Amino acid sequence: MRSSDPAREPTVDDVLGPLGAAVMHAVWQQGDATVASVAAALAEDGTSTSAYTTIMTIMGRLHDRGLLAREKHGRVFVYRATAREADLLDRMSQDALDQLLARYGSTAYRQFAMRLGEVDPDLRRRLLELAGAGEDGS
Amino acid sequence: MRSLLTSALVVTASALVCFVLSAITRGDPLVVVESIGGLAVAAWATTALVLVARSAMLAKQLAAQGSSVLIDGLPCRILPTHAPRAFVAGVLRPSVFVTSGAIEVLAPDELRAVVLHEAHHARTLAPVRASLVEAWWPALQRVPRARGLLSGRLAAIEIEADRFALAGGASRRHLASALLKLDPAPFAVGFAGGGDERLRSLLDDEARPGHAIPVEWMAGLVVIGLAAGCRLAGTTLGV
Repeated sequence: MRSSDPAREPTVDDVLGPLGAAVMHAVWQQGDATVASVAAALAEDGTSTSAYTTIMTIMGRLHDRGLLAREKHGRVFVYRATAREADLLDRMSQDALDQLLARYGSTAYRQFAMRLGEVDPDLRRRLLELAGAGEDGS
Repeated sequence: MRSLLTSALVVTASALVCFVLSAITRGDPLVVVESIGGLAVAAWATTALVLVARSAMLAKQLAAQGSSVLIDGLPCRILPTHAPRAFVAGVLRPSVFVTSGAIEVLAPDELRAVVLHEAHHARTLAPVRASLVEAWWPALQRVPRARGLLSGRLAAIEIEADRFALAGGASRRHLASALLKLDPAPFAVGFAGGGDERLRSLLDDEARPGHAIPVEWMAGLVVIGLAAGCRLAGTTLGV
């Protein structure tokens, strides 16, 4: 059916950049993480030697984008990832496509699907019947 | 109150346009008609150009995100997102875009039906043709008959693509089940039109002709023809 290789799956690096991705990986690994623990982990495994404040900025942005949730414990924020890696990639690439299509408007492309909620209910019922029919529905 | 104000503005603007045109043409009615025709064509062409440019930009941006594959020998670009969608965008060489989500949810025969449908759109420059139809929308959306003609023409473009898929070996059942499985983009509202007509064509065994009038080309030609007719009449009759 498909005669060439499927598309390469995007990685967190593709959508967040190397440092953002490294931070997310550290948070996924730690579960509950602080800026200090992430900075230490990145320095330890040689991924990044970025300053504490850089890591804090990155984590703040990831929080703003809804990728990290945080709670204040005493004087520090404890961060937790809001989704697993696969779910996050799916959500982000879907959002990016939606934003792109919305930006250029529905007149910029012809899509196969249609808003079935707006069609005649009888036609919708018949469509469901046809979709559920056997091979004789050809 | 708002509609009253809008009406007053329209009347004032129309009167102003007529006054300016009469002053320029010194009251020659044929030149006035020509000028109005010219303005209508210019407005339509500008709107169409904007819509076509949007399609080109979108295709360019999407092409950077997707990778090329062949599905049943038909070139497609796969977009790595789980939203199950299929569409075509672009101007001179439109591309078929299928998301990895669509490939996951569609059975092979359904995917083939969808790709055949979209391949017809690509082959017949559907994004450009649809843009030319939709460029009339701002001017004619309040005229019920024109509105029906425009949305009917858009439905006809979809019906042509469905028939191409059927002629290529897809079944009505697979087109129907693919319609149920794929998501329309949530913001694709308003001037999508003609949904009932497309479904009737897909559901009925007897082929129903879509709107035969190719509005996307004819409408502009009619306006140009009228202007040319006025000019000819002016020359030959000395009006």
